Amino acid sequence: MAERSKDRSAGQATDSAGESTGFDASHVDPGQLVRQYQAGVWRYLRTLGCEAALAEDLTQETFLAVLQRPFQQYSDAATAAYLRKVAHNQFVSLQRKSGREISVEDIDTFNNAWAHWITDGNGQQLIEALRECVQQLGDRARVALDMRFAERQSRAEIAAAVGLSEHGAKNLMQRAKAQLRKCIDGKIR
Amino acid sequence: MMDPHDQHYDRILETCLEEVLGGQSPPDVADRVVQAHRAVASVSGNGSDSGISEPVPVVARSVTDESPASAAPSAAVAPRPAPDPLSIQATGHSRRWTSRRSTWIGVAAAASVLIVGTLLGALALHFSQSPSAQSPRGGTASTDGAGTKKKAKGDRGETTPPQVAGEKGQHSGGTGSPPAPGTTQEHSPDGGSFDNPSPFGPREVVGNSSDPPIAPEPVDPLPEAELVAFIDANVAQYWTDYRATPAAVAPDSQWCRRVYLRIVGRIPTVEELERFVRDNRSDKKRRLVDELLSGDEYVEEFARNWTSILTNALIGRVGGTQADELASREGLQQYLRRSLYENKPYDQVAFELIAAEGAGRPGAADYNGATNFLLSGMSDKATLATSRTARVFLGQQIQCTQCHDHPENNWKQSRFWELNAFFRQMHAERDPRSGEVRLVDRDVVGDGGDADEAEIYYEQLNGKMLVAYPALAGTPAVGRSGLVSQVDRREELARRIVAHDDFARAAVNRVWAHFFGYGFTRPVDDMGPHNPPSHPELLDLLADQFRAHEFDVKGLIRWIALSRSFGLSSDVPAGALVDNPTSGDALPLFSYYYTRPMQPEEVFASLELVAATYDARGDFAEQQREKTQWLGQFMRNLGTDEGEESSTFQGTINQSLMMMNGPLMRRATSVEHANLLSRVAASRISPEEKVEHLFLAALARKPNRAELALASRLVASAPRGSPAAPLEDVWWALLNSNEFILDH
Repeated sequence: MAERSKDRSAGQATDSAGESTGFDASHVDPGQLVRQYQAGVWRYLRTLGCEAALAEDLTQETFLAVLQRPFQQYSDAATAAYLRKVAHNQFVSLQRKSGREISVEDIDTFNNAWAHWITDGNGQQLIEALRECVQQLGDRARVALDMRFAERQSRAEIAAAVGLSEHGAKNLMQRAKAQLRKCIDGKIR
Repeated sequence: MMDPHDQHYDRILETCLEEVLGGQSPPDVADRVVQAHRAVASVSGNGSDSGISEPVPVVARSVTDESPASAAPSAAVAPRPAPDPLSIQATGHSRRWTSRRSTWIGVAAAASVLIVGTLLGALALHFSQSPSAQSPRGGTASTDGAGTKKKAKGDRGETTPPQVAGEKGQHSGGTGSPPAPGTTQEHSPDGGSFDNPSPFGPREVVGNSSDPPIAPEPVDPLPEAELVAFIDANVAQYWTDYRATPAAVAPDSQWCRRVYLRIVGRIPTVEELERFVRDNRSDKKRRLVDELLSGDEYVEEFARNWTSILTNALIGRVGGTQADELASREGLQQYLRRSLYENKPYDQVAFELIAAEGAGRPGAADYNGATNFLLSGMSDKATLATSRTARVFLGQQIQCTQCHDHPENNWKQSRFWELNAFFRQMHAERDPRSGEVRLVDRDVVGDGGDADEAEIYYEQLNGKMLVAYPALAGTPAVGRSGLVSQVDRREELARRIVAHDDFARAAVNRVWAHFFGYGFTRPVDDMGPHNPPSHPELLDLLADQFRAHEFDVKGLIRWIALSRSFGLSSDVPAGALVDNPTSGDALPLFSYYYTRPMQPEEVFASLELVAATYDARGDFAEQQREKTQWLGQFMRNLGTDEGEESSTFQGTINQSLMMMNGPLMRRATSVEHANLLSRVAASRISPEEKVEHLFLAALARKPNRAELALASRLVASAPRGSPAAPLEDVWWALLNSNEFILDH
């Protein structure tokens, strides 16, 4: 029966004496778990709107929360999904506690988009695909995106640098992003 | 218009661009998390590094953007600066991590107390039972002789990789030959039967060879007091974890009103309310629950309420109401009502609903009301019956896998069609003379034209055709024959479902949601690896015990109704933001009673009570018809493949008009009828007492001073010609108040 209690909660719950053993490392190594999924959780939190530092904090809290209670490993996809759910809850709880308005967005739709692109659980494939796709952009589009996402420059500054109006710069970047999406879809799917 | 998905893809893309172009990269937090985790475990005395009971160290990011002030460790949360071998020497501290130190200390301390105390006390007893104990259902609990261990709950092995249509491979069970006539493949070499509570142990199982069988191991039933204590301890643990403050205990009158609503589906009368409130016995709550569940006075009301609940779960609120439908709602309700009167175990009811044969309408020669569940789901390929069976009895929404793999877990498209194959012998046949519809099983040859194989074909999104045979993931293989004499597929399915681990979990989740407004998962019938429950240990234990107690629904109701959470006030405690399931998809913590609108059936029954129409009508069937007609004003079948319905009983104009001017309301609020109001109006009590009585009847509370003064003044100023008119107004206002229509 003690075996069962371990099995059913895959990695924790009770030992033969009925005492909690916390996370049972004999089933899943916490360090390995974190190393395998931390990038995916961090990236997910970033896409939810967390700054890098906050995403890092919440990534840690996500894993600690998961390790504190029964945890079942079904498959890589299920574990990644579960971690994302916990991460999302951490994010929402933080928003609440800090008294910020919580936008109740369609998280399911967002998760579907995430699952469509992130097929390896941590998003590394997407990053690699994006690196390659960025190289396929035209010079002007690449400069615009570089100024926008690396140097954090304003649209007016970008427009001046690429010799377009602000509206034109906006269109240039939108087209570039559409091109990137198409390119990524082709590589990932 | 922009596709809503576009903005999500854009967000992901832009974040990745910041990473690719901006040089950001995911941090490595593994060491910090592992150290903090070990420290928490050691504080609670459970870690591998035993003997260390220092405060949990603060774990900081290696790169910090915090101010020096915030980086300084707080003396308040680190009272003992003794060397802590588990601490990480860091250059700074995250403010948020610093603030969480006390949390982890609290978590660890609370965990220690609870673990040593009640929580694992119950668990220890629960799990220390002998695995070979006698089954409560009369079977001997078999152990797995092969040493196979049950996999984690909810770990559903996928079925065998699908075969391409036309490539008939080896039998999924591995024998490759059809069973002998008159037998099914369930008769495994070990000779076990489904009467055995652990029927799936050593048998061959559908799925990958690495997937252990899904079958609940038997446990011994725990006493009610221990179960209630476990519920309380487990829920309280989550309050501690999430720093939720539980609400105060609900006043007796509030608890009484809600327990009547949940168990018999109506508000209590003033007499019932006062009887309970005045009862001074310490176990009066248990006595009332027992009375509502089994007392002679409430047998019929209990059956009526739970017939409605079960019918709605099985075929929705509209199913079987139209004359041209194959199913008869009346027939299904009659079957369920009788089952409830007989207190049939839930697994028996489920088995009968899935395997039923016969005519659906009462009065037919071979009438069997249970057939109406599947008659309501009849379609060309029984797709609705397939998805509905999985949803209702296993808590799994697999309808999307009809067309593609599940987007959020590893359920394959084959899962749907393998389940669907169980229903392919099922046919609805209409007697040309009597017009009666019967549900029968017939021999089938399958899409391949071979009765010995009787496979079905389904198409993937890419146009590839695949083969499916009847199979339920994680359960023993089923014979492929389409001959009913060899394999009665629905009967095989029914056996597998009631023995399936998820069967009890789905039922527990649904009943819990009935009592609290939220189940352990959201939605309540979408369980699976993609949607982990809020309280997994509690769900597991209740499911095991529901099975151990022979699927006694009344027992399950009793445990839940007597729990501490059910007895909490609906007044939201200060700082309850952390427990707010109405916001987003946050999981509930049950730290207060969630106020919610009554179900339409509950409003109807409560109005009937005060209008005193209930006793004036005919038999049960007639009462049900009237209720169905009343409910029909608000419900509409959307006609989708998934049998979806829409309701206008959600604060709409329809509902408001019915509540303000509907026939039932008019009857309840006019002294011209023999009802509660006319009795109060004719009594000799003072105007204040009359008002008080009406408040108790509608809201289960007395009026406050301002309400009493206003209402009494109104009643006292009655015009000479119609002395009861003000009282009618007060009563009408009470019945149209939010407080009346809310379960709180």
